[in-house]
Amino acid sequence: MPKYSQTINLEGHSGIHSEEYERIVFTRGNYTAVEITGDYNVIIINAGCRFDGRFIVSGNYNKITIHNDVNFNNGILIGADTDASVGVGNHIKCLGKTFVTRDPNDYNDHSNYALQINGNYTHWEGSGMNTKVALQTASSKRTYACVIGRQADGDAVSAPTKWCILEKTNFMVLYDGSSHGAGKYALLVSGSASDIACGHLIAGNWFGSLGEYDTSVSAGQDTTGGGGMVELNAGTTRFVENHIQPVYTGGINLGVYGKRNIVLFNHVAHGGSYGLQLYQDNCVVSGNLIYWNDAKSSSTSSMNIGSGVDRAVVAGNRGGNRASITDNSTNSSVSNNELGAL
Amino acid sequence: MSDNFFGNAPNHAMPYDSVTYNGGTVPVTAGYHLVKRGSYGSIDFNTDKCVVDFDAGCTFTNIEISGDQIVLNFGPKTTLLANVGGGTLAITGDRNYVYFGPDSSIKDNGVPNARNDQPDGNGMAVSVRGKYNTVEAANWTTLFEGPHSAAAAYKNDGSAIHNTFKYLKGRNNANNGSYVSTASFHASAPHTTFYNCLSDYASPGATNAENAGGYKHGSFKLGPIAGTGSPSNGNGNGYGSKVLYCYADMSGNSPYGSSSNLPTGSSANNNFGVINYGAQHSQVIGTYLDSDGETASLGMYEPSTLIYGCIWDSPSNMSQETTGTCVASIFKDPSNSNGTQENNIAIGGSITALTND
Repeated sequence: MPKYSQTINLEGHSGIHSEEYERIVFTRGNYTAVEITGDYNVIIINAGCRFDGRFIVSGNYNKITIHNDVNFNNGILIGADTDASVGVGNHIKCLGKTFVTRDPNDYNDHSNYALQINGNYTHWEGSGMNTKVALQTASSKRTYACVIGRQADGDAVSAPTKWCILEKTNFMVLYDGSSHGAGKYALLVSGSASDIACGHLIAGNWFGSLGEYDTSVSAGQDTTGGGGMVELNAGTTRFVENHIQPVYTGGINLGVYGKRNIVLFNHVAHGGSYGLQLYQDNCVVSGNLIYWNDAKSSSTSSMNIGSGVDRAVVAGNRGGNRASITDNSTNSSVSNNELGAL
Repeated sequence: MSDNFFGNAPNHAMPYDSVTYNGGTVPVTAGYHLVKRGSYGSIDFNTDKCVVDFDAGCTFTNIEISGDQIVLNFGPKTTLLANVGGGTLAITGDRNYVYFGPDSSIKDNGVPNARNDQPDGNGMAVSVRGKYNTVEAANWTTLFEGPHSAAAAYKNDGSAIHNTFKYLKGRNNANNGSYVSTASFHASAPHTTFYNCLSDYASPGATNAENAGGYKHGSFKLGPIAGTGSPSNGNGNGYGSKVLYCYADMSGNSPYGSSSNLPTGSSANNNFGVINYGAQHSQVIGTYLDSDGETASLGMYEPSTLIYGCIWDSPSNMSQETTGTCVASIFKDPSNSNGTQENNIAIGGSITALTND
């Protein structure tokens, strides 16, 4: 047995921390870039900490507890940019008001993320609506508040990220007042992994600023068009008990593009285009409220099931305003959905 | 950064009532305690309102929580390893909370009891026999292993109620199965909840024989911990239990290293993803099972059950009683038309294969 673990108080010391099996405390203060490269640490981020550089966790199996009123002003990366086997099994738990964003001055020309989760088995646990992951749009740039299994160049991690838990957090992309940018998601999960069992659980989150529908989008509101609010590309994802309520027009609220996804008990409202688009086989969509698209238009379906879809269940949902679902699937069970004016 | 900066300052961040170092005596008194990395043997937390934070890398044989309102917050890489009756982690008190950090291991390495024995759970990594307790893991890197059960809520008199397990990964031990109701998880007490738990090791052993680990009652067993007895036979009662958003991989090609497929021997009930003997009014919701073509059925053999929003990649059957409800789910075939069955895809064929599962 090595010597007992120490308690290390990081009084403003940023940079790389390679300790293992230690109890590391970020005492209240301002930090620049930080990288946790060690494994098996108990890490406590005290109330009032500010991180003006990027916060990276590339070590494995750390338990990180974030106390109240902590800001990550230039993003968080769990893992490595291109490898799901780095930064594995970390549990990040927020206890209070936590804010994660990115400095627009540091945006790259491709895809920008406030919270980038690439390590397998990551558990990101917010504290509720007080945990906000938000990104502002920028002209001609992609802005995704949170991604799982995606690289900074916009490509998916080649071997997809698996077995993550994402819960109790409010994700949003906000209009910066001058440009809606080029492609936005509040959450994008593992591109190019539709037929691979990834086993994520995404539960109890809020997506969007939760404002009421307003055609005059102003700074600070959910941005308009391009991409969607939430897109699930990973197989065997369970997406349950979430709330999607953006303000924008255009874009799909919830895109289900992974095979064998289970989508239950969500509230999806106030979006553009379709509320739900289902484009993969063997998914279950049930027990959801999915309605009010395109300024409450009755011409756009709340739910759209693509022609390539085989053997899916879309049942027991409340949809609207349009009184029908666009269903081009085969061998599916699409019924017992109450539709029409709300 | 100087060496001095890394000096030990155990009380700087948290106002602990005590700090215990390697080999010391872990306090079990009411209060807020810190336990540093070390080996601590066997402990009984028998005093109410004891709250303990543990550093990473602590090792124990077995732990019992016989007090109430106790919080044990274990760090990463915690190890519990023992061969004891009643659970390597045994919770006999009420309203306790236990958290295990990432990559922890909680294991019973003993031999399980015989079929239809009625012990307090030999061969269980976690046995909860009190009320209103929660056992939570950081994520699926923390592994619970027992030849009988990775985690179970059970008490002979049925008084263990409303216990919850979250984010556990459970397995049965390799080459050490038995004729007892071997399952990764047992809801053998009323109102037990399993939330996002993973059973990922279908066949516990390369030998693959019934008496050497091949006898797997199910990934999730609702009802008595022993045999196939009725809920009233004293072996446990999973009335009102829930399996929520859980996940099971019974396939021979499990990415977690399942060595071989399930056996197809003469013993019955060796091939269930979820099996319910003795848990009336129970629910299985939003649960995914990958069998990859192996038999792995969903059998709810009790009244008034609900199967909702599940995907069952299996060539085997869904079965329920006449008062059961099964809706909005995908599986191969129902074995009967009992109860309410609507909006299911009973496909009668293969669902679209995944390329890597």
